[in-house]
Amino acid sequence: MADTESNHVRITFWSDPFEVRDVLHKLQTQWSGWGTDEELTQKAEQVVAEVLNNVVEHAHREDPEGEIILTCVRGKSEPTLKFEIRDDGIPMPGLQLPSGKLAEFGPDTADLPEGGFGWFMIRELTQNLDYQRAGDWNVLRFTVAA
Amino acid sequence: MNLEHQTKGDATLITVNEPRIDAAIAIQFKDKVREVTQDGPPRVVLDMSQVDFLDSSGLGALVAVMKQLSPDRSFELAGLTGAVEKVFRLTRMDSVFKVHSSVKDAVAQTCDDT
Repeated sequence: MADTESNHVRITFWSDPFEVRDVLHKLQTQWSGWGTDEELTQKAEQVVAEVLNNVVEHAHREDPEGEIILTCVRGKSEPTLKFEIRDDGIPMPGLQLPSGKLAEFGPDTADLPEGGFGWFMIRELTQNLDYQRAGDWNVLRFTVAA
Repeated sequence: MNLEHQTKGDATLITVNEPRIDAAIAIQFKDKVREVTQDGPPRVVLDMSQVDFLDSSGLGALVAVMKQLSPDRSFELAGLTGAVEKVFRLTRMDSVFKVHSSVKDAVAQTCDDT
């Protein structure tokens, strides 16, 4: 794995759903090497998958030449994983993160939402979620705690 | 996309032989399930016991399948693994799908019903 140090890992890759799978696998390997708690890695994998899917689909609009740089730092003493995910895609609309509200649904199956789950889960499972536009890059930072 | 399907009593049992239902395969998954449930018994049971990861794209695909089968046929899930079950709980979709604790339970119910 490229650029691995004892307390952090950085992975650079192209915008593609199969690359996303590969990166999640690399992260699991790294977390396993760190001995990170399984409940924490499960949450982190879910969040990172949702964030990366959104980058591939929306920021890069499925352009395979889009670049993504992911950094993961493990907490020194506390059971946390801190992330920074940068992409050179289009900015978030209004330079703001989606609210991540789950659509209300009633008993009627026909009214069920088929989307909107991603940002909802990201907001539910992270702390200190922060988005900035820096030059040509989207920079998303967040922490996942056990 | 590796799915197996067979008829068990009043249900079509679909076994997902994939470890992940994610953005990489969600559309294929949805199309394939639609294909194998074009016609058949009133219940469709999806065996998820080999699936250890489900993202929002995969969840959206499951909801889409259920909407397509309803109201005439039911779409039920069986064998949710730990991480997948958490996704259902978190998004409150566990209140929407009929979830069996195991494939055996889902199939046993089939036998009871017939």
